[in-house]
Amino acid sequence: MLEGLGSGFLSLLTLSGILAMLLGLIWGTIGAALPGISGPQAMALLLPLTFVMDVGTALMLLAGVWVGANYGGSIPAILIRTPGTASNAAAVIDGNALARQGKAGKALGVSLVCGCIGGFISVVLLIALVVPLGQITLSFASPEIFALTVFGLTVIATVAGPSMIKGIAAALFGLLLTTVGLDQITGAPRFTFGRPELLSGFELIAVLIGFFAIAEMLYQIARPGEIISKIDRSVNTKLPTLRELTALRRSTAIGSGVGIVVGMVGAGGAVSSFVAYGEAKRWSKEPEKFGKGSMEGVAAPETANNSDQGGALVPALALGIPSSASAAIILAALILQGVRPGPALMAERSDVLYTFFAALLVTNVLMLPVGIAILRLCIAMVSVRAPLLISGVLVLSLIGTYSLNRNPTDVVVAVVFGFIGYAMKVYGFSPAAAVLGLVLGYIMEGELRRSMMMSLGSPEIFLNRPIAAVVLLLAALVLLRPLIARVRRGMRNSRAPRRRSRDRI
Amino acid sequence: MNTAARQPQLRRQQHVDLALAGTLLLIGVLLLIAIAGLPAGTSADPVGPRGFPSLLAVGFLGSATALAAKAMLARRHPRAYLLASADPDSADSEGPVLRSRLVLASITIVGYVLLLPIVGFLLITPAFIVALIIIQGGVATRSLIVMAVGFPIAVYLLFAVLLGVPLPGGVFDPMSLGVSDTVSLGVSDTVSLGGGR
Repeated sequence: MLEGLGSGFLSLLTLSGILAMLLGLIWGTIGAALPGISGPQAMALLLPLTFVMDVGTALMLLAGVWVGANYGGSIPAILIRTPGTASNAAAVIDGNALARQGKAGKALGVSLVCGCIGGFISVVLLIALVVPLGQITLSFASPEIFALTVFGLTVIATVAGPSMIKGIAAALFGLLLTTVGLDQITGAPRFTFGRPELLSGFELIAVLIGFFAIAEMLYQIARPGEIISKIDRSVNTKLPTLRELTALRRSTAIGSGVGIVVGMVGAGGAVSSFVAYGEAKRWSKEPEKFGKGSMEGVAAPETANNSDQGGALVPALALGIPSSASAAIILAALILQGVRPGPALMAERSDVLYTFFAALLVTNVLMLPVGIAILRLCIAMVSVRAPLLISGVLVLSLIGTYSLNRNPTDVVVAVVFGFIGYAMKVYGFSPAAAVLGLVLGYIMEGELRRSMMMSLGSPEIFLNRPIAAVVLLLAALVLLRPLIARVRRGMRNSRAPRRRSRDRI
Repeated sequence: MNTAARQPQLRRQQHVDLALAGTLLLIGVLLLIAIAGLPAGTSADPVGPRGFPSLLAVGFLGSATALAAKAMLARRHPRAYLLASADPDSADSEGPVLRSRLVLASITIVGYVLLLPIVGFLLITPAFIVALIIIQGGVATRSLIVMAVGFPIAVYLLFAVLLGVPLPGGVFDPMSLGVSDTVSLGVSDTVSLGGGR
């Protein structure tokens, strides 16, 4: 493992590699600082550029964007009470309270340092888990992999939005899109309606850009936010002292733990940061300070938000099942580069994985100087009027999509999915669940068909193999969770009156 | 919000969810019809090209039924129903929805996509940016000019010069921007979602 990691670090030592990480960090930080652009959107916008890079450089760029985006969103959250991304919403509470007390620089410093600590810890844990997990999953055959894709999709669909039914429908829509094109086993055209441009299916990146970037810009056009008129441009990042950091160790530890666990199950950065905030308050020696400008109230959610990245990457890299939109984009970048994600990834392309791990570790460290250096630039960008920003993002999205194959059809696909993504967002269908369906659909169908070939058409194969059976049972439990909860609530309620009447007697 | 105040919102959400359930039902039925034309499984490939889409069709029909049932039973737990139906980004969706802006911007985007290969990137993009900014209420003239002129040049330099990706030159200058070999609707040779992978 250490040898692999060492060669991963060595592969970063190229001019293009260092530039990719720095550019990624700068774009990720600025992108997420801009209201309306989240981490996955910032990553999706850069995907076309990765097409002209080798796989290592592409991953270094995306690692930079991911790490940068985790911090960038906290800048407007602290300074103007407007979180750049949903993951930074919890930082608004105490971060902005500190800013109003004239401690904005310190709040930004705590967010930056604790975020880097959380990100670094989660990546170390990611490396420690992915390598042994990868060795275990190497023995998995088609039934186990199919069961895992079902489980992964079920979990994401159920936590992707407020409605589980709509989450499942969105994931089904993503899966449906992967059935268009040449059939992966027989080679026969499917759902192409005689159109030759559909034979190779929908261009993955075009669909991603449509769902994430174009849909979001349409949403911003239809629902313009308030104009940012006043922002203090004289703020400087003030890093916490060692003593202050020691005092924040409890909340940083809580943030790291919560972020990693929540990231693994795919509940997302927003959930992890709010859970961490609540837990940090519960375990704090000064809970009364929370909400009024507590450093712990900034440290815990910002650590959790960054730790989420390592957690989300564990199932994505070990099993090929992304548990967040950002992880799905990393897998999409791998697919774009001809690297097949899944349990065999560690065995087949460990060089790629170690380069990515090294890039994540280095970008988490580089984030500190970059975050301090580009604060003023971020503040200037936050002040850019929305019409300028939206038109710029739309041009970049459309031209980026065109640049993939120099094919106008891809641009049409991106726009169509932009409109579909907008409608999904408005009516509560999570575009992120659809994207996860998109990334998993091809693997899911292939493994289902190979499993059924192994069993000569008997679905019992999924019950006869213990791991597949347990994983499918877990997926069923996740789906039935609301029903189980309702039955238990009903039983509790029916017992309560009886208990009350007994008490009266 | 009290029960009386919740009633109109509840009715509206029920109608929306029933319409969405109808859409999911339609997708499921259309999928079942489209599947009928696909080859069935064989002994070598028991699932065949038809199997997976069939499962998805069942999933769509199931989701439609569940959503419709939930909407029809909403009166039992109106508060929980409305919470579960809320827009996930409700925090930033407050305020009026500017439909006319959305329609005009959509028409502008479609127009840009259609005209891009014909007119060319450097000519159509400034017009696209100006139109989009005006639709959104406009900005200061200086910012508008800088954005409309400067941004397309920056994008051109990034893609065409730095990355070597020719951008559509249009009918006015098909060779210099390398469009002659790019306006092709053929099958791409890169990674896609379907059979091309």
